[in-house]
Amino acid sequence: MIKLRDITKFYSSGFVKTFVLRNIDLDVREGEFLTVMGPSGAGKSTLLYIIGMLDDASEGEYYFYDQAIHSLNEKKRTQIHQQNIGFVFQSYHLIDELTVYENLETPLLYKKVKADERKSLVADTLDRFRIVAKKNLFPSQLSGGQQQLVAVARAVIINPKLILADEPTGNLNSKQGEEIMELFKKLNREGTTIIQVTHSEKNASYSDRVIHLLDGWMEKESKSIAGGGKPEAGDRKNKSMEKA
Amino acid sequence: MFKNYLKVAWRNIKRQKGYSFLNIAGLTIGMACSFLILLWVQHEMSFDRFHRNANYIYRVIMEEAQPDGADAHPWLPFPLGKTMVERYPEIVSATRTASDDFMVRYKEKIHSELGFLFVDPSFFSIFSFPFVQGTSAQALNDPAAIVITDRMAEKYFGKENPLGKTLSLSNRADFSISGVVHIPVASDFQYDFFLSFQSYSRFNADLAALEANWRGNNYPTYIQLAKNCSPARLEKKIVDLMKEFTPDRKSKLKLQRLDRIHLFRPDGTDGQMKIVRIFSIIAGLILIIAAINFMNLATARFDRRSKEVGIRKTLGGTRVQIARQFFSESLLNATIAFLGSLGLIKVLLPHFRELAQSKLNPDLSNPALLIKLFALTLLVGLIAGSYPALILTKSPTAGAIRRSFFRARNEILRKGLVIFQFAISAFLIIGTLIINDQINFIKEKDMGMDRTNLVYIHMHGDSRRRAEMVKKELLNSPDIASATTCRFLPSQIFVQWDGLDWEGKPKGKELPVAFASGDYDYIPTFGMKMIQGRNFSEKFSTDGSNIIINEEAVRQMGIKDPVGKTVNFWRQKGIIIGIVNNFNHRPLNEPILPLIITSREVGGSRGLLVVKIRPGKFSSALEYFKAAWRRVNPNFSFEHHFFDEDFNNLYLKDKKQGRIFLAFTLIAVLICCLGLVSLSSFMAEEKTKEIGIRKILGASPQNITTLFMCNFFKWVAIANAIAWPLGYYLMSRWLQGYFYRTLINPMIFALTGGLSVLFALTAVGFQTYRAARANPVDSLRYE
Ligand SMILES: Nc1ncnc2c1ncn2[C@@H]1O[C@H](COP(=O)(O)OP(=O)(O)O)[C@@H](O)[C@H]1O
Ligand SMILES: [Mg+2]
Repeated sequence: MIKLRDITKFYSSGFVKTFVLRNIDLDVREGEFLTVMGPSGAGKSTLLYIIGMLDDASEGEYYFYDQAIHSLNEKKRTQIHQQNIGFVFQSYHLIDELTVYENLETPLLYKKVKADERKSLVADTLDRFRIVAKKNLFPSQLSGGQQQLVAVARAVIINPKLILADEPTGNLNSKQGEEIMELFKKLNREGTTIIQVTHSEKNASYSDRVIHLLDGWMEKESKSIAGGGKPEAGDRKNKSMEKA
Repeated sequence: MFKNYLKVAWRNIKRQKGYSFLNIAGLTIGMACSFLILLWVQHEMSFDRFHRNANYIYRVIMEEAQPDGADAHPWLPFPLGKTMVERYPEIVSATRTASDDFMVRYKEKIHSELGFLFVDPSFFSIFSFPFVQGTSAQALNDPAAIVITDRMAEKYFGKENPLGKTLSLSNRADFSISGVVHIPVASDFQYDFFLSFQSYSRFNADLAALEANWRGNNYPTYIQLAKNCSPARLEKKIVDLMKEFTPDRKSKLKLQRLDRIHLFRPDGTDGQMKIVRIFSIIAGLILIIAAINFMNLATARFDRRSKEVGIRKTLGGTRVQIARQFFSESLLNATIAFLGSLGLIKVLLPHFRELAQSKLNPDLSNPALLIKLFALTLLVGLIAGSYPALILTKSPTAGAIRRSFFRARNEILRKGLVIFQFAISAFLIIGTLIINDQINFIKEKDMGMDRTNLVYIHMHGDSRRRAEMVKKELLNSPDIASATTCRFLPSQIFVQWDGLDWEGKPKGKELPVAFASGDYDYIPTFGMKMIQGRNFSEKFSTDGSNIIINEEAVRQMGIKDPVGKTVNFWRQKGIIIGIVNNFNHRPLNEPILPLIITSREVGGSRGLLVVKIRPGKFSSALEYFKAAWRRVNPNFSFEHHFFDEDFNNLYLKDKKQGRIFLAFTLIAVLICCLGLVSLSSFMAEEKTKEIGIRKILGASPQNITTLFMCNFFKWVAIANAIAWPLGYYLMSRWLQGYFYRTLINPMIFALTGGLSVLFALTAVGFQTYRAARANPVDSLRYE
């Protein structure tokens, strides 16, 4: 589904080039649940933005379902993005001026979904995430966990093929975090490809595969149990201990 | 989608009430003022365009060669209009005009009226003034007919039907009303009574002689061309027409189209157009200042909004979709301001009318007008919204979500805009101060005569012949110092170019000369001073033909020992008996020219009776004046005027301009300050963390306030550095329009700088101080 070849990202200020990503090669299969880990400043978010088509790589090739994203114009890319990708962020990034209902509705508006279809989609989603009672509240009236729930619902509403989550539980307590992760797992089982960034080993354990970034380099890949069968907790823990 | 845009826009307005209020209020005031000016400009541009034939009506202009260039004027010989129609088939018809004043009597109502216009009967078919009663076609065919305005119908007849009623003019001739006409506000023909030249004979004038007189340049003449005729070609044909009749004068004829008369001088240069231009520019500047506020505040909120843009992009919003959102917001704001400005215009209109002495009366419910103004509003909204819409949506999303790396660029733009606003305000302040200086300069300039305590009346008909009797009676009163009769007020004496001859006059040299006609008491009554020789006196029987000249005449004529020399003017001889000081016989935008005072009654009788009242005796003296006049002239009106007031009216236009300039300067500064208040509150908010850290490091609120104010002062300084030279240059050019002008006082610039600092201080100080006082722990936790 995703194929990155030799992706490099740098920012240049004056004569200095600051490399954020260096020669990243990465393949993500459809239906996979991938975790990106690494210390702060390693380039994780940048990688996510590039995959999410919100940012350009400086060099390298990016194929999404065999579409050469690196050679598309902005309009084309936004179209692919509109159809396929949902985002979840650490700080939720709900639009403060809009109610829960309207936040959910916004991606559909951009996708030019018809009004009645939009209504039923929003209603379904509210139902599915059990937030119907909150639909007329503004983000500031919700707790962090609830806000993130809405953010996930908003990412899911367009029925994306790919969800990109940048430290989605970073601002949540452990119970709230667990709920969100369970939600991701469920979505993944239903066929959505998920790429998450996290610092938490526990969250990483929900995924099929973990990659590590350090100073823009992609470190060795550690395969978790293939095939998506339920791994044993202890096993995973050991593996991450080795790495640490 | 659009509904969604509006919803968000509306919530944004509500969410930040203070900000929205300042933002929209600034724009409302700015739009109301610039719309008002634009309406006024439109009004000025619309003069006499309503006539059906407006595009085919021309005023004939005479260009007379003078030593210092050509003098173009509309004063033409009487026979010219008629001759032109006879000669050139492409001229459909022509009308000559001459203004006059009479005393009007209907039953017991007697008033002195200044608004008479003699015209040819074709006048009302060339111009299409709407008739309220009667018909335009035949209105003036009868020499004893008169057309009056609806205003006069009301004044003299109230509810009575004026048609067929008889008005007596100066007790000399009776006229029967044949029509009532309405003269629209936007017309330069603001007369109240229209008579045919055919009626001249009824005032004992020799019409036949007039029709043959090619030398009296007195009659503005309008012609109507055939629709298919080329005015340029006609102009070529008529250019040398005058050679045939006055071969000795080098005069040429030209045409000026009707719609240009109000705005341009006869020579085609800017007249009123200059003011229209200046005010259009001011309207533009005010609108720009208001729009800049709008943009500035939008950029101040850039950080907040850039995050929103980022989120919207992650949700799949395209650039165009998100840009549309910003435009809708800006348009919504502009629309609210537009509605507000319509209300504000209604409130301001009476004041503006007063201020501009204009009869401007726009119909604000006229859809065409509203559409035009609204289109302008949308334009402002689009421009103001364009910055956030285009720049924000262009920024890479990743950066935007990370709270933007664009702060630096953004700040430069914001600074630039504030400096620009301040520069405009400073320029307007400079302009106001200099205009004010010039007006005071004129007010206080020594005119070479005494304008105080002078009252005058217009004498009509044969009452003029009894002026000496009235004078004698007047001098019996201890409250009256002196009295004189004259033709013109000494502040408004016309200048002519011919007819002066003296011994030793160089060949081909012509001098402009002002002829003042007054009796023996003229010079003492107006407080002029004899420099040499003596005033007219009854003791010398020849003084009826002797003359007095001014110092400038001596200088320009180049006569040594002028007293006793002989001068020829208008084919008569006069001996110079004295030299009078150079008093200003023209408005101060014109120089003092050679002047001749004659006590002989030249070219008609003297119609003004001027009385000098002793200080403090005003009411008793006026009472006496009126009684004396009535005793001698029981059938004539008595309506007095003050010389001083008249004099001030000469400069009313300047004063008017000065006041308008002042008003709009204040408004521009106000809008600027509104912008600064909200901008500074945003900056304070933005810098809460910095302020917090500084305070933890031990800075006092005063330290911090000073630190932030310094920034604004730097901007003010740069703005002044731009405005000063610009103001100096443009205002010097404006002053060039005056012959007598004030020097530009350097203190004006210092004052402007001081005022700008003061305004900035007021606008910025409070916000900054409040931010500086805030508890640092709060602000840090808040981050
Ligand atoms: N617009 C930018 N200009 C310059 N440097 C940037 C920009 N955006 C991110 N960076 C730098 O790129 C590096 C990687 O950032 P990021 O991908 O956010 O790291 P992570 O998410 O792994 O913490 C950081 O050092 C950051 O400072
Ligand atoms: Mg990150």
